Amino acid sequence: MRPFGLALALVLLAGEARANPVDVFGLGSRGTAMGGAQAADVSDFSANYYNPAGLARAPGVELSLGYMRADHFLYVNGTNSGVDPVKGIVGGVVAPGRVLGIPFAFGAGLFLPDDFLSRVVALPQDQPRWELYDNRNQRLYIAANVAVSPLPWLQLGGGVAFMAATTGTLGITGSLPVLKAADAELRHEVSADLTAIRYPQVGARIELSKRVALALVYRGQFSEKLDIHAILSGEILLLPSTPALTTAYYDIETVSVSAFLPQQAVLGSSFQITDDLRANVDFTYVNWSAYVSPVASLDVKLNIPPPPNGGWPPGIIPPTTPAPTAVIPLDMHDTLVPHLGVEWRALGRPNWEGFIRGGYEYDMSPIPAQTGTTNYIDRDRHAFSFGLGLRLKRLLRELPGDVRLDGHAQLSEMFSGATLKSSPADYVGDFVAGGHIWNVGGNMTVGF
Amino acid sequence: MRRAALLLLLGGAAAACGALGSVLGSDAAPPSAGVGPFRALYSNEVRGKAPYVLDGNGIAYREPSALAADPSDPSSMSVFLYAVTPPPLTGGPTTVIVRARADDARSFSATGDGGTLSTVVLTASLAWEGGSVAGPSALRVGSSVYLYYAAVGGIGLARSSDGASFTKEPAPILAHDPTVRWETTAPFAPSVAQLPDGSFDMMYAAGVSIGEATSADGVHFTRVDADLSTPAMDPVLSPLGAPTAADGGPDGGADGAAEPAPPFDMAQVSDPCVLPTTTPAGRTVIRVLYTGFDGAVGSSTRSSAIGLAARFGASGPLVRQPEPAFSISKQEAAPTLFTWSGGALLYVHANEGLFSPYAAIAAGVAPTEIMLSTLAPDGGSTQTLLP
Repeated sequence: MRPFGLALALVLLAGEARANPVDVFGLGSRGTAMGGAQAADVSDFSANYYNPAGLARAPGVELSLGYMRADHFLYVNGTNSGVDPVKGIVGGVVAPGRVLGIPFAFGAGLFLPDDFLSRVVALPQDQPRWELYDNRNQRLYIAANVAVSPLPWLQLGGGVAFMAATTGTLGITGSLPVLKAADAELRHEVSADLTAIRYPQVGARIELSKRVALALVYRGQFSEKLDIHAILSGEILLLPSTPALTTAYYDIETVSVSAFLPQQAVLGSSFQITDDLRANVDFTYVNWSAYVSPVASLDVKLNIPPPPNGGWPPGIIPPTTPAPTAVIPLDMHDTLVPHLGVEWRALGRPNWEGFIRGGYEYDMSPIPAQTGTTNYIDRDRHAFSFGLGLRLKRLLRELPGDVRLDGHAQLSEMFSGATLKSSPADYVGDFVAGGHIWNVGGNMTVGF
Repeated sequence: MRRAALLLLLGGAAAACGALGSVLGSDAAPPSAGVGPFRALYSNEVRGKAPYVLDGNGIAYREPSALAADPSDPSSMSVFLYAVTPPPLTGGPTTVIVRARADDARSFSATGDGGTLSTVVLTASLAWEGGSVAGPSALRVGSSVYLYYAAVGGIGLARSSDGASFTKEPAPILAHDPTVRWETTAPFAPSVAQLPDGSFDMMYAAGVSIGEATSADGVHFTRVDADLSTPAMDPVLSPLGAPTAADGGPDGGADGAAEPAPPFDMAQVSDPCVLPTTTPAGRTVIRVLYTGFDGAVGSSTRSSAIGLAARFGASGPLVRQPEPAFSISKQEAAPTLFTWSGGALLYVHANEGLFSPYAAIAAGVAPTEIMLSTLAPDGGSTQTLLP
């Protein structure tokens, strides 16, 4: 029962995990190099994302550690949009064993970004942004799973991944001179809280024969809610030296969904064509139509009573309560994402093996043409990947298992295309957007 | 196995400690059509009081028109600003057109004596002008500067080789035409741009609307009917009028819902600034910044804001953008635009002074995310005294 207890401990420790970047860039070099076609052919730490059932196929305890970096070269009207890179540590652990005579395993996987532990962004709905790349992938991802193999040809697995909801309060108090705003004396207080939210993932793998396997995976939906409450209370003065005209109260509450991960279902297959050649094909259904607009709803209460003696001086017009935001729905459509991957054992020696891998993934954009006020920029993504692998057998006497070194390079091409606005008086206007993303990385797995 | 899991967690914690780095994104400005929305300049972006860039300290400066001083360099922020002001020294009810220059697009006036260094470039001298000139629209045509202006009898043209010494056409190039029913006044506030085919497109104000005229040479203009489906000559942009309950306007609270704000331009549209462009997708768009008024002339509650209207193609009525491009609640009016490779600066005239308001030239910038370089509050203006 030790493995089960450790898995539970990992679940409880992972309090601030969030939405994940691995949907876009994969988890682990082997999976990324094979286009993410892994659901029926995974047995290492990356099973924590691709298919928890695969954990039960691990040959022994394995510890993996690596690094990946994805740099965006995304352009709008010829200008680089400056989307931040996604980079960080990838790793995980797989620990198989037996419970009541049944093969059992637990695992944990993570992507730990090295720039941000968390980031929330709330933008006006008309502000152009690469909706699926600007902010969503700057996330800490942790998943913990368990798996069993009740029959030799069947593996079942499941677990949880984590995210956090954010609530916060911003308080501003002080005095504001109308005629010398630069001399305002304002004090700020910020209080924020992160609350963990978990979402499920389950998977099954069926071995039809020694050379053919199928898999089904389901990943749950989650949304990260950003709730900010700002309170401004201050005295309105003409000049810093004059007495207060009145006291203003400004109360703002915004609620938005800053990250939304739609539920997904994967149908995977793996074919061992020859002893040295494997081909995998996966299809992922993504329920993007449930996507929640990231625009914040705004509830504003403004109270600026006129000065008691004589009202407002001439020329001073107090602000009025802004109109509530009319959120324009973002009507995404569901997508079916094909993943193709091949692996060739190019070199086989008694003490080591060399692998060459390739893959392709096609992500049709779920975002409709942005012809109106909103500017959620996206383009279809064609991801071409390549990878190398090296398996060292019995490298050290102290290491009874293999040592594996895997690397990958992935080019995501987003062909440039024009978005034509329906109104000639649009503040953003027609734009041409496109670009590519380079994703490189590597990881080492040590078997015990 | 415990050791392995512990190593994993410790590795994660170590990386997390270093993960408190930069905040959101890069400095790249988001894509924009460059015609708004504009934000008013901040106090550290001007030498005097924000958002003013040309302030006569009680002497009015109105109706600016911007002209790039170095059009061969897209990154240059050197700007000539033509504006309307009372004659120097004498003052009085008449107005002249002056020119100032700033190499940072903002320092048109020195602290304390703002605007007094501007050079007079055009005064009234012809009978049809009625003693005043106003509404300048400066346009570079080849090596010449064409200065379109308004006077009592309509719209005139003066031409110059140096942008300072002008020679006038003897008669107005667009005079009042009583057969055009919507033109209840003589045309004023001209704005002229040259289209890619070399022709000239003029937008002008008359009455409460904006009309259009075109020309092959920039001198001889012909009015354009914006709606050929009607027998009458139509303007390209008219005020919306007050909305009624039937079209979503105020209903006196009958439906219990919050009353929508009336359109900012429901009473009058004026002061066009025509800005033709070709979009990155290759479409021709005629864009017009204009002043929108929500009350009649003389109304004590009349306020204004800067709006944007546009159309695809070379002809037809303009489509308005519902949200103002620039609004600072200071009776802002008469927009003109200067663009450089880093963004766009909007100049307007707006009320300055709390108790005795007078017009001064204020500025806004788009995209709103960009920050202009910080300027010292005093210590020398970059204004150039012109010959």
